[in-house]
Amino acid sequence: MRVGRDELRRQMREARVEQRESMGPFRDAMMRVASGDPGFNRRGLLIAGGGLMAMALAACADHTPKPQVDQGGATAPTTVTIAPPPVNDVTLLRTASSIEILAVQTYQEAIDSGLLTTPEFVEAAKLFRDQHDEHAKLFAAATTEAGGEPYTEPNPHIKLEVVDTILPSVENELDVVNLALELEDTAGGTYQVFVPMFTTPELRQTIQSVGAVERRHAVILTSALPEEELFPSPFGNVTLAVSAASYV
Amino acid sequence: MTSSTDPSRRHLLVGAGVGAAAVAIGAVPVLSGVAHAQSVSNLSGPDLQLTLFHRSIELAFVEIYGMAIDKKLLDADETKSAALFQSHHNEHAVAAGALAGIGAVGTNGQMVNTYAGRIRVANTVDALLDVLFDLETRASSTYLLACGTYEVPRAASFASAVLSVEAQHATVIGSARGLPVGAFMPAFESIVGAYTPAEFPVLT
Repeated sequence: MRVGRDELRRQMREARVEQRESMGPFRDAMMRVASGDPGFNRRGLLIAGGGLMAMALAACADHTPKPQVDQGGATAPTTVTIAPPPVNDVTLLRTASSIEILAVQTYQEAIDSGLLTTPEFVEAAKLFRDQHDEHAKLFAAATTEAGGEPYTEPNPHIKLEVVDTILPSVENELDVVNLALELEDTAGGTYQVFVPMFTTPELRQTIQSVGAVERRHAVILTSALPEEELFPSPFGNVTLAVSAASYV
Repeated sequence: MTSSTDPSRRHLLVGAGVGAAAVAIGAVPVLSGVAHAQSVSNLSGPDLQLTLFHRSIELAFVEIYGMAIDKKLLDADETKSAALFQSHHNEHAVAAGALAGIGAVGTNGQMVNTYAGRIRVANTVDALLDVLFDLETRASSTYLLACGTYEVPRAASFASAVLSVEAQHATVIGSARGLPVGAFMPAFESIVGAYTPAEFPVLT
């Protein structure tokens, strides 16, 4: 069973239009959440509640203050280590936002690069970009809901270690698809790993309402790569989930 | 579908230094801990009942796919994919049983009966794929709902790992069927249409 491509281009375009139209009220609701409209039933929109509850995980950073300068006054250069943020609901949501923003940015660069020459790929890239944008808005609103400040930049660690590393070697359409697949697998795997780390069932559902869509993106992209195994496992693969070092 | 293990895209990651680090995560994916779950199941109450429900419907999916394949309407590639998806559902049933720690719950008979009737009257490939698409779409909704229902994180992890793949089943079938993109590529996964124990009771 191959992923059908008949009329895919037309359908992708229509889907983007439908999405824009259907997301109108959603966007409005997001704005109300972000503005702190007290009369708005945020639980109904986000299926996400709860406050900011710190979650103690083994992976948490050690925040014990450490000297960063040789106490003996030596002049040797020192290394400043930036500890990752504490792992809690807000950090996980901010990290999810940062991944979505990076995906939006990367898809846009791919579209602008001119390397995508197959119309179906162009349309898919536009649809996926738009959906990641909606995901970013959802996570931003959920971050606010959880008492945090939404993260508004692309994830610096993944950008540096994945996108910026891979981009110089991207020379053709399949390279772009590979890069996109890498990001989708990163997002899908990361959100799946986040599920048991969230402190509330509502937030677990929120993250996977997006995570499952990244998996759908991934399977479409994989289908474009004949040598890739479409289903390497009966369960969601988390191999590319990001480590705590990439949390923001 | 291909079965090659040549990860051509991985060459792009050479030197990225992310893959190895990505594996080491604080959270333990439940499926890597199936054996653990078999020996240390502490689910109880609603979480246990929900897991038993998941086992019963996964076993039903296995039977339903068998019926679909036996119709012999699918071509060779489609049959191969259907058999693969069937095997996935069997794995999911095994994992649910391991998580529950109780293997006594069998196939959800009401679900099998419901879908048997639909498959019986599906006399074209498209009609058959429509039935399977509906099944996988509702299954995805079921596991998203479960992510927000389970209290025990390990159980939610199970639901999320299954959801990841069943949503992909739905996408592949919907695309192969030629459905509108919005049907198999929504902006957000939905809980609408989730199977419930009220609709398909678990008989023990």
